[in-house]
Formats: sequence, C-alpha cells, structure tokens
Amino acid sequence: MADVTTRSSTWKCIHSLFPLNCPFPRRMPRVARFLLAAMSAIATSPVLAHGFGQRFDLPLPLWLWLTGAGATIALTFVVMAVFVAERPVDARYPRVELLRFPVVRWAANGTTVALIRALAVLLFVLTACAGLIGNQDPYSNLITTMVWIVWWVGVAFTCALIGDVWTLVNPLRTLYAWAEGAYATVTGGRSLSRGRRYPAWLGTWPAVLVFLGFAWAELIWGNKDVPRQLGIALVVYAALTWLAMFVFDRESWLAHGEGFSVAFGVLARFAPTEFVAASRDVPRRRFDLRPPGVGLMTSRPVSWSFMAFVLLMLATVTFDGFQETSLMQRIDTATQSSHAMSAFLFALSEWGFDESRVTHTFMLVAFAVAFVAIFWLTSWVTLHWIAGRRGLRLQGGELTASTTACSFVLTLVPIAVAYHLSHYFSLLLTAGQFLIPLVSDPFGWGWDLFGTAGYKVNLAIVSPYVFWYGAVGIIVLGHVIAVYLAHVAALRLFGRHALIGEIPMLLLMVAYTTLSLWILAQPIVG
Amino acid sequence: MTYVANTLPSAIASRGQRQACNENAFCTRRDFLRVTAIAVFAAIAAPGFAADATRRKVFTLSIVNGALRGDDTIKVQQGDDIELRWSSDKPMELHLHGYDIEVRVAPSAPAAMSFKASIPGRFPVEPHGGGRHHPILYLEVHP
Repeated sequence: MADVTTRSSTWKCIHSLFPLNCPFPRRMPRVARFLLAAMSAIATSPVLAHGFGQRFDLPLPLWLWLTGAGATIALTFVVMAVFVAERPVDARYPRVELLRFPVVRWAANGTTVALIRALAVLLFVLTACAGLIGNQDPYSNLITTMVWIVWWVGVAFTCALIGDVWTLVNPLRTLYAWAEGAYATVTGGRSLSRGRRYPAWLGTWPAVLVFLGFAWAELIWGNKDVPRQLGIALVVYAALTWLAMFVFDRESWLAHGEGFSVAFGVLARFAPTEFVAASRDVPRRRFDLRPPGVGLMTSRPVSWSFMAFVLLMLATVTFDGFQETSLMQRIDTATQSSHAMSAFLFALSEWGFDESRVTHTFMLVAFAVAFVAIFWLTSWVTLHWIAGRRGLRLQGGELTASTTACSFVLTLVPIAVAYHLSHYFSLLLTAGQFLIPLVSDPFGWGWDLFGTAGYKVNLAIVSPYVFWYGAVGIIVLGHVIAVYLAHVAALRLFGRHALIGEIPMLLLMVAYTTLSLWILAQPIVG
Repeated sequence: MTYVANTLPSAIASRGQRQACNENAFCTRRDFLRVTAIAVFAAIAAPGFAADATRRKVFTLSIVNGALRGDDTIKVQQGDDIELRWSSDKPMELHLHGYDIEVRVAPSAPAAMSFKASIPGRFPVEPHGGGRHHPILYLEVHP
C-alpha cells in the first residue's frame, strides 16, 4: 500500500497544473530538462483555475451555507436597528498616532524604509531573472509562487488587514525614484519626467485597463504558470509603467494608471492603519491606527472611473470563484453545443484561440459590465424609491443615480475583502509553503543554499473545519461592516430618509454576500 | 460502483450498553443513569474510535471511452483505507492529485490505488498524457 505521508520525489506534482512536468528527475541534465519544459509549455494544460496552484477545499456543507445566509439577513436588520440614529455621522473617527511611540519612530526612519525598498527591488530582480533564465517547471521556479501566491494573494491580504504595504515596497516606484535621483545628480537637479499634465478626463481608466488585463492573465491566460512567459510579462509591464511615469510624472501615474497601486490602495482603505506622507496640507507625515473599514467612508463621491475600477475588482474576485463551479461548466457546455456559438468559436479556434478561453474571456467582461449595470440600477432605484415613499422632491441635478452609485461603491469593498480572504487563505497556507524549498533553489537548478530544498508541502495544514467556519465567519463579519458603512453613507446622502433610502442597497449587499457563500458551497470542478 | 464498509461505531455502542445491564442484576434508576452515561460516552467517543479503527472501502471504477461510468464523486471519511480499482477500455495514465498517486491502466491490465485517506479535501483524478485533462473523478475526504 502506498503510504501517503512519504511522498515520492515527484512531490511538486501535488498541485500539478502541468502534468507533463511532474516526473522531472532533479538530476536530469539541464538541457534535457529545458527541452522537456519547452515541450510541456507547448502542450499547455487547458485547466482553467485562478493564478497558480490548486485548491483542494471541500465545499461548505449545506447547513452551514444556509446558516451563513440566514445570519447575513438577520444581522443586516440588527445593524440597522442598532444604528437607527438619524443624525448624520461625521467623518471623524478615533485614531492612535503610532509615530508618538519611539519604537515606531525608530522603525520608520529613512534608513529602514530605504533598506526595505532595496530588498524589494532585489527580490523583484531575482524573481524576473528566475523566470527568464531558470528552470521552466512552474513548481521549481521562484517566479510562479512569488507572483501568484506571495505577491497577488500575500500582498493583497497584507494591504487589507495591516496597511498599504505596496506603496512601501513597490519595486517599480523605487527603481524609477532611484533613476530620478541619479538623473538629478548628473544634470544638476533637472527632473527626469517630461511632466506632461495628466489629463483629468482620463481619470483612473488606465488603471481599469491594466487591472482587466491582469485579471485576464490571472484567470484565463494559458501561460500564466510558464516561468519565462511570466517573466516577460513582468518586464513588459515594468517598461510600460516607467514609460508612463516618464511622460507624466511618477506620483500621478501611480495614482491613476498603475493598476496595482490603485487596487492595493482600495484594499488598504479597509486596513486598520493609515499612512499620510507630508505634503502642503499635511505639515508632517502621519501613521495612525484606526478602526478597520473607516477608510472606505468618503466625504465626496468618487469619480466614475474609480467606481468602475472598484466594481471591476469585485467582479473579478467573484468570477474567480464562479469559474470553478459546475454551473460555469454547464454554461461552457451549453455555449459549445449551441449551433451558432460553436460555429463562431470554431472559426476563432482556427485563428488559434482556445474555445473555452474565448467563452471565459467573454464571461469575465460580462461579469464586470453586469456588476456596473446592476450597481447603477440599484442606485437609480434607490432615488426613485425614496421619492416614491416619502414624496421627496429630488432637487434637480444634485442627487443623481451616478452620484449615489459613486458615494456607495466603496461600502461594498468589505464583502469583497472577506470573500477574497475566505477563497484564498487555505491556498496561501498550502501553496505558500512552496517558498520554503524555493528559497534554497530559486532558479530550480538543484541548489540547496539553506538546506530547505527538500521540504515537502503539508496539505493538511488547514483543517476543513477551520476553512468552513473561518470562511463563513469572515464573510458574515465583512457583510456587517459593509452594512454599517452603507448606513453611514445613507445618513450623509439622504439625511432623515436614510433608513428607507438604504434598503435597495442593503438588499444588493445581502444578494452579493449570499452569492459569495453560495460559491464557497459549490464543489470545485476542474 | 460498489463499496464495502463495516459500521463500527454502532456495534461498540450497543455492546457496551448490553454488558453494563447484564452485570448488574438490579436495573435501578442509578444503574439506568450509569448505563445512560456509558451509552452517551460511547456515542461521543465512538467517532473517535472509528477514526482509529481501520475502515476499508473498495471502489470498483470502470472507464469507458475516457469517461467514468456512474457518479463522478466519491465520498469517504478521513482515516479510511481506500482502494480504487480501475479498469479501462483504453490504456491511460491516471493521477490522483493531492495524494499524488499515479497508475497506468490498460484493457488487459486493471490497476489499483491503495492509500489511507489521511488528508481531508476534494481531490481530482485526472487522466494524464496528451490532449485534454478534465478530471474524471473527484475524491472527497470528509473530516
């Protein structure tokens, strides 16, 4: 009988998306390994799953899903009943100035920050090099684990739960800042960027495009776990970012076009810490502790493009889980068996497009459009609902469906953060363990720098009970925070009509939370 | 798909109850309470025993034209000894992910995967080698 605890040398296969790569003997000549890797890169497995690695989570039991959904609805009313106050809530909240403490001041000094940034740059260069010249087996190369697990899942979690760490470590920002410094020294203080004015009408639309491209790469791209392709994508994105920083300037591109700074910034609004750099309005830098979620309260409606960005993030997170359900599989089968669609897809496949990828790409965009449409419609209904219920005359032009949507959109973020956490935390804890052997052998060349190259991943680290109760608990908690934030936004926007006015938005939140729970209750299919 | 399993927990519980009553000639209220307590304890502890006790489950799975006949999900308890007996009308390589077990099956040579279901989760079995790799079976190991 095969003993499971003593796994064979093909242990890296356990998450295998790349079956042909699995039986790589580590001592095979490098040329042979490279050829094998190249062959398997061509015969890419069509398995569609998020980023990298495979989740083996059991679906939520039915009773737990129903309990979670029931609790969601009940707690919505409890939050409404507890916070019925009809007075507007001011935007101030309790803060603890962390820079008051000498330890924090000492840790946050310029040298430490510069050191952390230099380390992040080093890691970025190492990751890109590993992808470009290392072993092409996705589980032997640092880049796949680094990009999909440590960066996309790990940094997102850190930003949402601790604070905006991406602004601190973003290697593209640091490298450009170094280049700026060097250029200024050489030319005697001239600015590297051309300093074209960033056009206001462009808003955060470039970031929307970047994020859509990224979401496609994460969820649909067939070569997302081919190290060299990933390395090339990394370098191309860095070059584009630096070009844009060169044309405009560093900070305005980070705020409008660098999709990841915007995305992690949205998540960091949920975080319990806040960093404000010194500027004209802020005499000295601030680093405060605050209640989680308060960063999502806005005093002014956000821009249309920013609203679209937030809804795109929400839609991709939901789509990520949705595409692993059997419902998505049935949609796939239905589109491929429909006559007109299959003819169309066949024509596309002649051009080299994979049929299921075309369907999934279409579904991803449809999800994003549907999220924006449903959200805008809910805002429109909200206004007409208030007007109908209270005979309230809406003052011409002041409160439109768009301004309502742009005022409420950030209140949905806690539900998305909670779903993201539940969906990914077991993956982070299992696939994250790949980092232990990779530290010793980042290029997959058979090194053993720290003696950890032989580490075997422990899949049983997250028990199903921890996953189930944790997931439901986190999602219900996220929902409660979202409902509270929506209530605050309603008070600010509708004043004494808040309790009536927030009802359509709360119904939407209940539906969104229930959908998240439903996805977790579906068995994961290939 | 057939499967064989013995049900240990109920056997333990009922035996414990019967013995307790036979040893005491007078089944007074105290005895009743004692027996109840033992029964309750047995009922609570039984799942624990069951996890340790070897429960053997054998599944016979036949693949016809690359697809499994019958249900595509097998549910077992953590700790069970599992044997998956495969037969196929075409030669193919099967890979149970997570447990990372690979077997080669051919029309003339059925194959078996034997293992202890120690890791809970939902694990796909995929045919490997050339072409598409849609899972043909899911093994759900429940805690």
